[in-house]
Amino acid sequence: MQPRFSRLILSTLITLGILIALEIATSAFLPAIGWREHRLAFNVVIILFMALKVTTPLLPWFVMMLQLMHAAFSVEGWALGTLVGILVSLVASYLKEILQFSSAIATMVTVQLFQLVWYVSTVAIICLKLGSFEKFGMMFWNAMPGTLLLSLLSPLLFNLLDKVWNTENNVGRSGVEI
Amino acid sequence: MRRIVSESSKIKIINNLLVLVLALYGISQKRFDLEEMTLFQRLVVEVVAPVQKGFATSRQELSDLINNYVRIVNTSKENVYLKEKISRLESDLFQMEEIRRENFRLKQMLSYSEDIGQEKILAQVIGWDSANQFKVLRLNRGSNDGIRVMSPVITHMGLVGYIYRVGPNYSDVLTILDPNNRVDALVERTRTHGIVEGVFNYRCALKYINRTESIEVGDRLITAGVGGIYPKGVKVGMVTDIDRETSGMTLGVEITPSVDFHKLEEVLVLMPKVATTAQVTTPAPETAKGP
Repeated sequence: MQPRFSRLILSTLITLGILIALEIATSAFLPAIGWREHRLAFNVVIILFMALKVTTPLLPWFVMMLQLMHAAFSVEGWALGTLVGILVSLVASYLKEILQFSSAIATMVTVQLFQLVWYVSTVAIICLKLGSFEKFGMMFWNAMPGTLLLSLLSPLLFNLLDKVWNTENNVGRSGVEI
Repeated sequence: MRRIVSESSKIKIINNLLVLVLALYGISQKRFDLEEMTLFQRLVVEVVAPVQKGFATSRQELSDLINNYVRIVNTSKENVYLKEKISRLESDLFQMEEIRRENFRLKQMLSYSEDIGQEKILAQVIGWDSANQFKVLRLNRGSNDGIRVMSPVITHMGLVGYIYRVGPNYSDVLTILDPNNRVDALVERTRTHGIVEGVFNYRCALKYINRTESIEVGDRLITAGVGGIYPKGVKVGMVTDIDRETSGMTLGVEITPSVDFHKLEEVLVLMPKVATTAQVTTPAPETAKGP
């Protein structure tokens, strides 16, 4: 039990470190070299990885932790992403049996589909909060170029996180029990 | 075995419910127009913002680094040496040019700031919001420099937004490009009131303009000074498109902001009206504070 727990802590800390590095890249490095149109929401891909590949009862707390860190880089805050992250992870838990990550393309398609679900939910909640669905389409489409790029990058990111969470030999199926 | 599985499922359900309740409470308390930084956020921002600031201040060096990398790939040693030498000279030249441009921008800002009878703080843009749904930028100044929430942020080109949340050394600006920021504006020529809202793609919309109003493409917009956030008369943008085909009582008016957000590097944060002399608190953002 103890080694498992310490591995969990280590993997979590490394994942938070990766998230911070990627958040700095998307909020400061990319704008500094001229990329200002679209933001790459790496927090979404990391949460999707956790939801799709890591099976633990503590998953909701991990999602919350990642979103708390993300809130330092975005006015989106922690709560919205946490709620959507948990809803998406619940959906993912039912689909794990049929999802495959055997090829880069399969990973890209899966990540893109889940990102669509993520943004529909997020934008819907923002619109509900603002009391108007007038900007739903605009906010949703504005996020799409970023999601496509993130889907293209997702095999690399999943590969890296596979090493961090030791899930590389457990592709697809029911994820890794921690 | 079945008992262990059911125990695990129970824990999973309890965890999900607990975090869902927390998240729902967080969303119910969330405001998209104003926020106070939590202690945790302050801590994280204090640690990571210097790194963001580092990227912002070394914009030219980063660009050079990428260019140099591309240049020296697949070339001989001699070529590398010569190109490095040229690159160094170019870099020096670029740096000189960058300093000249910055000098020009700051001079413009200073000359503009003399026209405003309010104390102000010069700040540097060090980062942008990492989510697509929000158009927020981060400044290298915070409450320790006197910045307060709701302080208007401008440049010599026009209105940028207002301070949305503030930490001790850094603050976030909700720009006029964000749909959650609403600016009461006046069409300069006709004195027609309307509300400017962000609509993404670096454009805004002017809302609640009656169909009978005679506004035209090219009309300039200024702040109306109503609402207590922005001073009156700051440039907001220009009418670039009018949709008269829309049904309803109001026109669809597209606004291009006066500020070029693609090239925004320094801004002025206006302070509450306590001082009467127009004075910029700090001479230059790069030299005023260390990372």
